[in-house]
Amino acid sequence: MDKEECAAAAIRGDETALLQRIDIDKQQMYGIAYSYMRNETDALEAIQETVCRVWAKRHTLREPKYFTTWMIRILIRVCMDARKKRAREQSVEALVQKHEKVAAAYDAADRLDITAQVQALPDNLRMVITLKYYRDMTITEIAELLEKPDGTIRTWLNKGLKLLRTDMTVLEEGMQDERGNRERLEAGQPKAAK
Amino acid sequence: MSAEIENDLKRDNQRLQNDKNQIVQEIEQLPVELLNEAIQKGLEQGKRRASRGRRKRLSLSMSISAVCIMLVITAFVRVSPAFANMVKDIPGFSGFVEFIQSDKSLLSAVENEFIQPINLSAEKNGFKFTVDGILADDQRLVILYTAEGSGINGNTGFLKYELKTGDGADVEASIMSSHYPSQDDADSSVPIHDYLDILMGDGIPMPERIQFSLLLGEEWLKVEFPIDHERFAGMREDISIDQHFEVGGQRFTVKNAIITPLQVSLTFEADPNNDKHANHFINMALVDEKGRRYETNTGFGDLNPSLTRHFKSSYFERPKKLTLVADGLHLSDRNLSITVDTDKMETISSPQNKLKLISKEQTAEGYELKFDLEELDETNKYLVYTLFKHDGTFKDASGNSHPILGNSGTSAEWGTGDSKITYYYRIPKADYKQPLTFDIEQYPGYVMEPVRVPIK
Repeated sequence: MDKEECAAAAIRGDETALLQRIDIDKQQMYGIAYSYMRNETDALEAIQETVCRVWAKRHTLREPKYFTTWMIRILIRVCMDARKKRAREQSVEALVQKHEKVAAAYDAADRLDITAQVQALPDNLRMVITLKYYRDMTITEIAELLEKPDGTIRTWLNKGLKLLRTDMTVLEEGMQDERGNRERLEAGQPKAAK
Repeated sequence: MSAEIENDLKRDNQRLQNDKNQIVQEIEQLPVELLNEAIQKGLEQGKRRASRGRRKRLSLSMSISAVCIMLVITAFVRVSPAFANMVKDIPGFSGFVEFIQSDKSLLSAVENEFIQPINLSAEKNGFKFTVDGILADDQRLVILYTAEGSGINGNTGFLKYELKTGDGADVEASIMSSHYPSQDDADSSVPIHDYLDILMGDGIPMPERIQFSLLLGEEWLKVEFPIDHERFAGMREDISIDQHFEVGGQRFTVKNAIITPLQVSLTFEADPNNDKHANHFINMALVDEKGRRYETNTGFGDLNPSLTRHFKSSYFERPKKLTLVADGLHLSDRNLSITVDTDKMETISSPQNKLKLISKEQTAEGYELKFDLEELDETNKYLVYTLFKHDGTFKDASGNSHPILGNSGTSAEWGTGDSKITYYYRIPKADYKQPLTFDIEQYPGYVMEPVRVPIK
């Protein structure tokens, strides 16, 4: 079976074909999940959830040839949702604690610093940065995966880089944004989380 | 814009690049086995999630100890436009088109104006519960109802209900309902049309009145309605048959038949000397002289010793001849058992390793054990087996017997297209000496051998 036949059989409910088809993309999936989640456990969890949704929603994929794009879209959604879910579960105290940890890390090591900063970005900006700089995708490829115009991706990229470039104030702003205060961020009025 | 990004990038390039290099190195240490495991687990999880899609609920309230059987119905329901129009003309019934059309008995009953419109409602705190109408005869009662209110929609799931006769006694019957999740949003409020299908126990008369309570939100809403017995007076045919037949080396007798507008019931008896445990006839139906088939999905009792099967009704078709047909028999060996360790959550042994203990959950009364019956083929997957005897017991490693809790019969769940069925059994909470052994009543297995018995 070639890739497409395999995908077609998978859509019809052939489990073996589905596993075969996923096998082709699994490294790419792990790469994206790991780059975004930044640890093995969360990356594997995201992949498990993705495969679960792939099976449950397989009937919604009309064209077998778009299997990879379709599955990676699901993965991206899962990764972004996982973080939202976690943010909801965290209390304000936990966020403050995290903030302190991040602040300590900021001085300790440059890499940790940028890791923490990327992680503190709003979901969409973090995903765009991840795909562009950690997965070497083009703007067009990212635009297709996120189903947004190229211009939007460029704007997000720009915004993400701006946030990464600056100091703790912006980092804190990013964390604030995690709790949903997007307007403030878009209006460009940095405000520190307390 | 692009130039600006490039400038930004230059400034951050090194930091990002370093971080990226590190990440890429980490990704290269791909944990292949864990990754494959995650994919496999995802698939299993997906199958479970998909199987949540379609559920059927069956509850039994019987003062007598009875076992109810039910076949998995997987037929896709197609609604013909002509029929949809006809039902739409009856006020309040448009929401029930699919359900009525899926059942040949109800379909011909509706076509013969056998519906009793009720249209009684109860309202409380913004919730409304309406009994739109009923179909009733000597053996069967179908209640069509509508529930609406804040947060009630096609995904609310099964609503809790209570069914009593006019004088407050339990309704001794097998009560069924199905639930199909819809596209409704989780928080939306969309009226739902649902039904209860009530098959009265053998010899139990149809009540004169019904008190039907439904739990909506936090509110119990009750509607009491009469059943007009005049509508089905004299519409009953009792036939004595006493015909013997043999299948898979096992002997049976068809005792008698009752034909009413909503149902045909046939009573079977198995020969006590049969060496196997007869579980079920395969593709059993009644066929008339014009080749019309009347299927059977439910029944009371089991073939050891006596079983009543319910068929779709031929009442309004008035056929001259009826023949009982079947393609074979589901049967299993006697004296089978499964041994499990509910502490270590292991299945130590089960016949052909098809039955597995998969989870244990603590409930108010004790533990709920879930068993998966796997590797079911096309012939044996459409049957809900009475795995463990009704009101049965199990033995711990010291040989002491403990009760299996609940008298609600077999509780099972399955998904369309699954090759397994999940069974639920509850046991008391206790510190058991492991392992535990459960005797198996019915188990997958069959012979294909045609059956033909003239009924009428």
